[in-house]
Amino acid sequence: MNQPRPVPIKLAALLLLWVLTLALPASAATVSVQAPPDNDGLNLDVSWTESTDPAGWGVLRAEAGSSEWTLLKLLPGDAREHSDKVTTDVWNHPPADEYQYKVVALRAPVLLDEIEESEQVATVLAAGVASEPGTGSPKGSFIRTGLKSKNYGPLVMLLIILAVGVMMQKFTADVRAGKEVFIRRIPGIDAIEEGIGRATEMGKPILYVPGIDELQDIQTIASMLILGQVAEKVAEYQSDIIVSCCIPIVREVADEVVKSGFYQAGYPDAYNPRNTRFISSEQFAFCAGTNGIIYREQPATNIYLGRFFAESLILAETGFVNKSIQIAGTAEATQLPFFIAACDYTLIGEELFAVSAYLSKDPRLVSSLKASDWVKLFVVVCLIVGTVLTSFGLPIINNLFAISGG
Amino acid sequence: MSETAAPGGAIRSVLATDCGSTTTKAILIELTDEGWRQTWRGEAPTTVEAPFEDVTRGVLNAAMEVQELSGRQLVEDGGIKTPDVGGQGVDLYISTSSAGGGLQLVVGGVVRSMTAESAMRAALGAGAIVMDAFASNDKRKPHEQIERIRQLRPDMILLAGGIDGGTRKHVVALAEMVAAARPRTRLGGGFNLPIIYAGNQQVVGDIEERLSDISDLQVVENVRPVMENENLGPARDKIHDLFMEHVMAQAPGYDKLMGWVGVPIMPTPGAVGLIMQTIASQKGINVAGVDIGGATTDVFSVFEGKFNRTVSANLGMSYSVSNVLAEAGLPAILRWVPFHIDEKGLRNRIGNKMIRPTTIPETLEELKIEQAIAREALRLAFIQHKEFAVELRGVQQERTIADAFRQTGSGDTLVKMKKLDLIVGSGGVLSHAPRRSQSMKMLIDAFEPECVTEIAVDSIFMMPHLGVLSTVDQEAATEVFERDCIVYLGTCVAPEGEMKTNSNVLTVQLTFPDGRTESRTMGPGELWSLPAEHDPGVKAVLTPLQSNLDVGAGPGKPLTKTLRGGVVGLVFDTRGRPIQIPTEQSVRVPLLEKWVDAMDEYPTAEGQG
Repeated sequence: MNQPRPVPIKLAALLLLWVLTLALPASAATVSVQAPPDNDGLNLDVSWTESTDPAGWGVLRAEAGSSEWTLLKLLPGDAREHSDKVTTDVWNHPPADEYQYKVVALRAPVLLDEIEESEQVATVLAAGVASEPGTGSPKGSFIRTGLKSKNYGPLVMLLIILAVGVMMQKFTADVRAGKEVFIRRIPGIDAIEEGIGRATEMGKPILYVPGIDELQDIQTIASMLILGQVAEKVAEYQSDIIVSCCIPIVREVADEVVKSGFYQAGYPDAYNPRNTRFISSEQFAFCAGTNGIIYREQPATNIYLGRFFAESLILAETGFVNKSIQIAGTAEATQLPFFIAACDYTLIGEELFAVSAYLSKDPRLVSSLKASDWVKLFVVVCLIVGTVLTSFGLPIINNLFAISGG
Repeated sequence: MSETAAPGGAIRSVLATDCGSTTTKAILIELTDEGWRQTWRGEAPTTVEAPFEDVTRGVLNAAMEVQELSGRQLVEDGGIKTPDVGGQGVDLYISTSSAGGGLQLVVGGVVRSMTAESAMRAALGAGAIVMDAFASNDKRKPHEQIERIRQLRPDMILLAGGIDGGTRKHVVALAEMVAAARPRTRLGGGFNLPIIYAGNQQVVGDIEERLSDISDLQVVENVRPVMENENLGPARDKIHDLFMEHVMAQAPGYDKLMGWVGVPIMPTPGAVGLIMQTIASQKGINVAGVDIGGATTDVFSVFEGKFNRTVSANLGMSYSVSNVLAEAGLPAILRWVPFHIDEKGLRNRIGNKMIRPTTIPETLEELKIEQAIAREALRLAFIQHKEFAVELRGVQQERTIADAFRQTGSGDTLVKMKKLDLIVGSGGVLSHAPRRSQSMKMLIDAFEPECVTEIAVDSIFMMPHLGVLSTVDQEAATEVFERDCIVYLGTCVAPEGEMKTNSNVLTVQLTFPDGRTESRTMGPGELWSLPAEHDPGVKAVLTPLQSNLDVGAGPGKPLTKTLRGGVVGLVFDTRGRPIQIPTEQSVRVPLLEKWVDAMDEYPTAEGQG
């Protein structure tokens, strides 16, 4: 909220006031304030009645019980209403419970350009006849059905969320009933087991790098889910896995995940906590340390899944020179070209988040994957249709998804 | 060894036998004025089992039949007369054997899709039946693996695992598992089971320590010395040697037979594979072959010089006929039956065939059903083959940024239908079909060849004999293969690609050797057959009428090529790949009848043909 401070009245403004008051209407306007029906809780419609048109109107607002008025708008003399958005930043300046508005009838258009901004309210108040304040409270409604804005966004979103829920239920039931749910073949994911097999045959370990970001990053979380399944598979093959971590807390979680994977596979004795290593929190120190592992221990397979930055190419190139099979996956678009060029297989963007469902075939994961695919398809279709319709002046799809405004 | 002319010498006549489980087949191959020809053949029941228990009795009986027909003395003093002196006797006697179930192997490797698969390829390529494949990731507990090996009683075990310098613990664990099982030979006897070790060469000492006391351990080069390459030759050769030394030596009469032959006795499928490889390399073509038997179906392929063989042990036309039904499903078989029949009726007929496996079709309807089953058995066996004949897994790939959205996985099949030049069919249902057009259509329906593919059948199952002969004289083997063994049925032209059903598919313009021309525009779902000679062939211009269809020159591009006919001729197939067949019987049967008529497959109702 703006916080106007008291304004000193200058001599020039007083002269202007005298000139303007010569043509004022006989009586003050009556102001009414209402929240529009399709309101998101941030709008108030101000209207007033007056039989004669002055030279102009000044609309002012203050919070209920406050005398700190803010000039909202200068309007022409034939105007009788104004729609006000009480705040544009709901997080830092949430709307007040009640506002008061008044309008000032002006004798002639006020030239505010020459007056300091801080003097505007006083100038306008002094230049005309102010009405009695009208009060109103902004009221939100979840679904705005007012003909004025035709804003169906929240309703559409609600329907999409419900549809996703229904789809997830259906796909979960399908998978549990043994129905085959088609998931597109992703060679990079198939290659994970192949890479583990290669390492087993060669008698060398598998190196797993879960990115360099914090645990709360969604890519690191996805990577941890995949690590559990990779560790289980490694245990089944009775091979070794080295996990190289950049963040201490990620190392702790990775260690638990690997241990759990070995337990799940029935080989708890094969789990070696020394193979889950914290290298350094510094990006390039971590990179150098991990390169050292690649050179010394010569893993047969390197798996880079998570959030990577500039170290991506250095790691991948070192692995390539070491003749390892390399599988990378990141949603970091800037690093994808490096991984694609230097690795055997690269999971691009959202494929990273599909790995867990793809590998585990867990009904819950598979169903959410399928449901999100359908939503993506729906969005793509809407984008195409919306673009075409909007190009012909029919923003129907745009209106369907509009949430703010009104 | 007999006193045969030395292999590679001036051989003028060869007697070749194939000792099958039930029949011993003998053929006489002679150097005539026209070159090498197969001249006479005879057959007799195999005599491995009681009361004779001597395989040579059957061999001599078959040879006697050839002797009587040819007038050439082949049998002398209870053996094969060698060498050829004045047109009596033969210069070389060779034999193959699949009697007693052939050569049965168990293989082991570290990872199922890697070294265990390489070991399987070595064993299958040597003509063996792989009874089971063990691997550290086959999800079986060690006690289950041990129990299984004890039950199987193979002829020998092939152990692989690890590249050279690779894993030690897995290979040693595998050896310990075998040692714990203390496997015995199938044919009994007082000798140790042969075990071939073809794995990581750096752990040979560990393997010897664990296996040399309980088995006849033979160490050969690693089948997978590095992840990028296989080295199957040494293991295959050793399998052949041990087959002779141990397995054959134990079978009744084989010790005597081994003394007669000029070159080692080979397992029948191994010999078939050998002739396939010889033909493919000499002609520079890609070949796929199939031998459909009563209990098993063997599929061979040679693509870009890489040979693969698979045995579908549960797909066959008599003993395994119900397995075909179980694997394919009744609707899959029913879709090939060109007359109205209900599911129950079809199931009963297949059941009858299973309980009377040696019967052959007596009525036209029975023949049609048998050939419908054969289509599915061939199709399933070929699918299994395509899944096995794959590129090596676990190999590093090299990518460029252009591969961003088309990253192909490893382990893709080597069997590329567009590159297939020749399909060779063998086995009773194909070789002895009343009309050759039936054989050709069965092979087209089952293999679904794409673009331009020649199709042939083995006339009298001579390929095993020629496979052994090719080890002695490749030229003679190839000549006989071309002239007497193989019967060229013709060429199949089928556009590859997704077909639109509402527009024409292909324009065919043909110019015959006599100057006659013929042209036709074909729509979707059509089959067109016309007679044509194998030599000199028919000049053809094939123009796809849909931009995504390919006849061999690229999508939408016309192809000019000489098409070789055969006893059936040329077949143009626009039924799509996979072949689209309606499920509704009232729609399907008329369509199948149309296709039957197009190839003159069966006699018409009026008794014509």
